Amino acid sequence: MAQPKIKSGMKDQMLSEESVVLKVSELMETLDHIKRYNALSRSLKKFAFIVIGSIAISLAVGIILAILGLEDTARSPQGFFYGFMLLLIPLAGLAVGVFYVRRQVNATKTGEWKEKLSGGFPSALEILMELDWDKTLDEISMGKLSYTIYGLLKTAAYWLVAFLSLQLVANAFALYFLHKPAIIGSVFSVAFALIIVLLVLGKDLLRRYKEIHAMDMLLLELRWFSLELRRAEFQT
Amino acid sequence: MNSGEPSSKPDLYVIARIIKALKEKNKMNKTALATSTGLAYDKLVKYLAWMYEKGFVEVDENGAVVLTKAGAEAYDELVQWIMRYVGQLKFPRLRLRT
Repeated sequence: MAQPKIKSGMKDQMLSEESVVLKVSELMETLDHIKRYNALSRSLKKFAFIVIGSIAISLAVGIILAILGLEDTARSPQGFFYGFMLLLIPLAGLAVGVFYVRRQVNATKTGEWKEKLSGGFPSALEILMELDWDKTLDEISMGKLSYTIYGLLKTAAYWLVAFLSLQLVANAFALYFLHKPAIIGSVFSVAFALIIVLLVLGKDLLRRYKEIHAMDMLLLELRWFSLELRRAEFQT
Repeated sequence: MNSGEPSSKPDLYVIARIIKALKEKNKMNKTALATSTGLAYDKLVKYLAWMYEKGFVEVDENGAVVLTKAGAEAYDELVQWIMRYVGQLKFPRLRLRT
């Protein structure tokens, strides 16, 4: 009668079936998170389209108003009003874009594996053996990249809104209180808007960075795991 | 026991499923075992033939399938084998921010 043998140079561990099920459950929960990143990935094009589109519309309207001589914040309260309305367009675009992405991400179906895993160790084993590792690793990489691009796009949009707001407020202040056309230059506004965005989004950016790093680590772990699993052989 | 074995390499999780069912019920007839494991009868028969060859199962005088000591040990070894890999995985806490 052939006895089962194990081919592996790895450290021996005495762990129960429940531990395997628990670990596979953790793995699947993590992969569910990856599904959410992929939903973000899929909605990234539309997000970029909405945000960049709203900025383009705002610029186009601004140019038309300038041609018509209606938008000059330095000269009239009406011009300030138009400037404010122009600022609302990219702001609305950003809000709609974020809302759209959030909706797509929240609509992601997760936890379908839970019922299967209720079968205990054999089901956990089935999930591990049937998982398409190459596809999973690709999805993590894609999710990471999309998340980075999304973060950058969102930060750039925040910066633009901050810049336009700053210009508008500064020009209005100069007009009504100092009776001067403008008190700050564009270069100063660019830098100041950047400082404001970094102050407002600082923690958020740090968390995003940590999350991207965590995804990198996950990618390494799973790459190692999938290689070991494929290389190893359970002999009977 | 019928001869023949799973068409290619046997799926470990199917073997695990059969052994687990037998561990829980001690012995079962093939029809009940097929129902319990969710396998098609003919597929189960092929797996049982393979397992019989390996000494993991036996068939008693009433035609019921019985798990052998070697079968139970193979299952325990399989659990440990897989845990050796899975146990080392560390998962980061991901929280997507939109």
